[in-house]
Amino acid sequence: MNHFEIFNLSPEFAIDNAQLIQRFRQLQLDHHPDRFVTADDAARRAAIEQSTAINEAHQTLQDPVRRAMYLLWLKGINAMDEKNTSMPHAFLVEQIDWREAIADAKLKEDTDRLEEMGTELASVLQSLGDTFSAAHDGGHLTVATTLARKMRFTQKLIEEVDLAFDELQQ
Amino acid sequence: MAFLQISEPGESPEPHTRRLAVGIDLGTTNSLVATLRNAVAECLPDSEGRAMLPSAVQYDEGGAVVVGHSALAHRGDDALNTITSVKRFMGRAIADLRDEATRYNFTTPSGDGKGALKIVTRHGAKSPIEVSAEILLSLKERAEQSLGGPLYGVVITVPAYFDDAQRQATKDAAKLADLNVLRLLNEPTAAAVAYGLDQRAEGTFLIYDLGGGTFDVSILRLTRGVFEVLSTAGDTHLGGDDFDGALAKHAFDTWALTRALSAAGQANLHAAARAAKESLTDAQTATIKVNWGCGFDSTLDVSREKFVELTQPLIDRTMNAVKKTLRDAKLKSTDIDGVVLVGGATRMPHVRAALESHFGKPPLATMNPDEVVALGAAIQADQLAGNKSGDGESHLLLDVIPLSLGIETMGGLVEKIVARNSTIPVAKAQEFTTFKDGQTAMSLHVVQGERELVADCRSLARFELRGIPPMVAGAARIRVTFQIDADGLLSVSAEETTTHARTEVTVKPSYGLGDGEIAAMLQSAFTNANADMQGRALAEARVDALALVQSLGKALIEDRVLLSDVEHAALSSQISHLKQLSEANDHRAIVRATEALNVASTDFAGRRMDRAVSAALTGQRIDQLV
Repeated sequence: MNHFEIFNLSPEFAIDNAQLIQRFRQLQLDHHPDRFVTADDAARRAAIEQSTAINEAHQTLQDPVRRAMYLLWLKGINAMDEKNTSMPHAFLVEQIDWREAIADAKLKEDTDRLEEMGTELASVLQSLGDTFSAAHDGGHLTVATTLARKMRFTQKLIEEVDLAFDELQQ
Repeated sequence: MAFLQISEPGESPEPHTRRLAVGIDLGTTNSLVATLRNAVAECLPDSEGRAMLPSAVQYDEGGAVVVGHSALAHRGDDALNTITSVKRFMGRAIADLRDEATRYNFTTPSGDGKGALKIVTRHGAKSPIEVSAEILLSLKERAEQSLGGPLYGVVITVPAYFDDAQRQATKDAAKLADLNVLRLLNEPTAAAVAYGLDQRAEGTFLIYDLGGGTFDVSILRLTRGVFEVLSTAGDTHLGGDDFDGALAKHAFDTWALTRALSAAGQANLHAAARAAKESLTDAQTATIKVNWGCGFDSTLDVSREKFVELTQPLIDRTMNAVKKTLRDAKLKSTDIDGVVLVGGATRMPHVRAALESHFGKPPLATMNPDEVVALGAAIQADQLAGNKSGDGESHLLLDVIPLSLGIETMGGLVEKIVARNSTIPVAKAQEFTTFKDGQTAMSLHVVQGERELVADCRSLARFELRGIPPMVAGAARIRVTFQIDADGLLSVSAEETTTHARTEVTVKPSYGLGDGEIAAMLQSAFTNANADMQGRALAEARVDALALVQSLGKALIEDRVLLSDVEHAALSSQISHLKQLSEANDHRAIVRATEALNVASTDFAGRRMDRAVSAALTGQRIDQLV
């Protein structure tokens, strides 16, 4: 069973979040190790395995970047393959600018600026996701792969912003 | 074994075979035990009606181990043998200690200061696990007397931000107390269960848990009996104790006392500071009053404003963690339906004010913040034991791992394997290969933390993979699986995937105890009655000698001016003689030399006494002499 099948979802980028959450809870209610504390070893081991698999599927699908990567993987594409690293020059320059801006805000301890950048990056990620969705569902897999990689780059920037926050607030 | 009876999930055993299960809140300052009676969770009081058991253990002169209120009473007069706040030492090495490093005489099994620490007492060196086990035993006895039978199982709560070593140490303490641990449960999650079920709450809640020594914050989504932790953050070195410490430091600085306080003096000052802090919850001013003994005392009035000013940095640290959980859960403060207060320290008005100003609504304080964790643990224990609760509804907790898990790669860098806030149980597999022809073993280093350098993270364990089939370099594919179970504990398995050979995994915890050590401790607990008296006498003699050497050494430095060069040289040489003797095994020689040094330093102690106030505040031995 693939991750989408576990949650009765069709393999598309736009998913019904409410259904994902609801089905996730139901599956865990049935399979979580807490349900099998007094059962025998074999049943307890099985519960850990199943509960782990449900968590893995849930975590993959609830995260837009991992969901995009997983959709491509189902089609036999490893978007993060090392042989597949070429990105448009302009995009890479943009990445460098972002990184410098984050480092600069961190240096100046400008948390307002960090906050703004976090919000801006989140909306960049959102619109990349929308474009990915159209490309993937339309079967334009090469375009979709580049978009998925851009999403990953953008998510890394968001993580950088969060890390800067954490370090400033230590 | 009777325990092997299997019941389907949700199906309860017959009413008369209801299993006795309790929840234990093993706290830094106080511990509680609770159970479910007639579908209502309640704390079990001691014979004098007190629910809270001070987390204090005294190893007394008569060879007995005293726990709770009676032990706490000796915090001042037998400070080195009365262990409090032991939770701060769980799963820790001496190098991890901060300001508390001087409170006890610490040692390590290997003597080199590395590995899990032990505390030197007159009953010998005790690991924090052993000390915690004494507290657990006391609660177990209380529960079994109250419930009228042996316990089937317990749920023990731990700070959400406890790392693997601290969780493992807690589980080992339970094993030592012969308790069947159904689950380690995160404290804020336990509180959410008690609060959520009590108030039939639905929505997104932030649990702010400021205990005696630890701080946790968790955000949970509560939906129809499912408690889902979205994110958690915290600080295992921040709690009510630190607020006492800030007040104590303020008093100490204001009184301009000489530098060192004896352990007893410290204990008295902290107790006075704590009392003042508690009064300030209702009053606008309070007085810190310390009686140093020998007829000296000091007092200081503190206003609530001053207290707020002194402790604002601590509040700020907690609010930073609050913001971090919001970011991690991708939520804004307006998304939070309610803030639930947990831990006695949340009674402080400025804690509540900080939360109210951040969330725009007053925090919820409908339940007793001291008891809510134990009550939640009791509810969970009852359900895990297979007892069906009164209303027939079952609930489920989905918790997360608080800190990322990674492995060491080239150059001392960390490669993250499991990200923090991943729902548990969780597993991740990673493939490795050999870099030499015919290589049959490799070692891995697992760390926990968010930083990029191994040196900045906590070392969890070193694994050795053996039995890899010999192949040319790079041909072997070793798949290592890291599994974190529902207690948040790590286990590792490995397999060579081209030949399907399972490799042997040797787990060497960097902290905590091996199973062999636990077995040995259990064994020694059984044979304690006919313990080796000779060994005991030696250990005691060493402790006394060490205490004198330390306190007198400190006094020599501080009050050097009170001694002539000749006197100073004489005392110094006697000190080093005693030091040497205490490394050998003749306990009589150590006792004799200790007495001799005591006598020889009497005069010096007298002069120090003449310097008035400092007398009771300096070396403990000296003030015992006068």
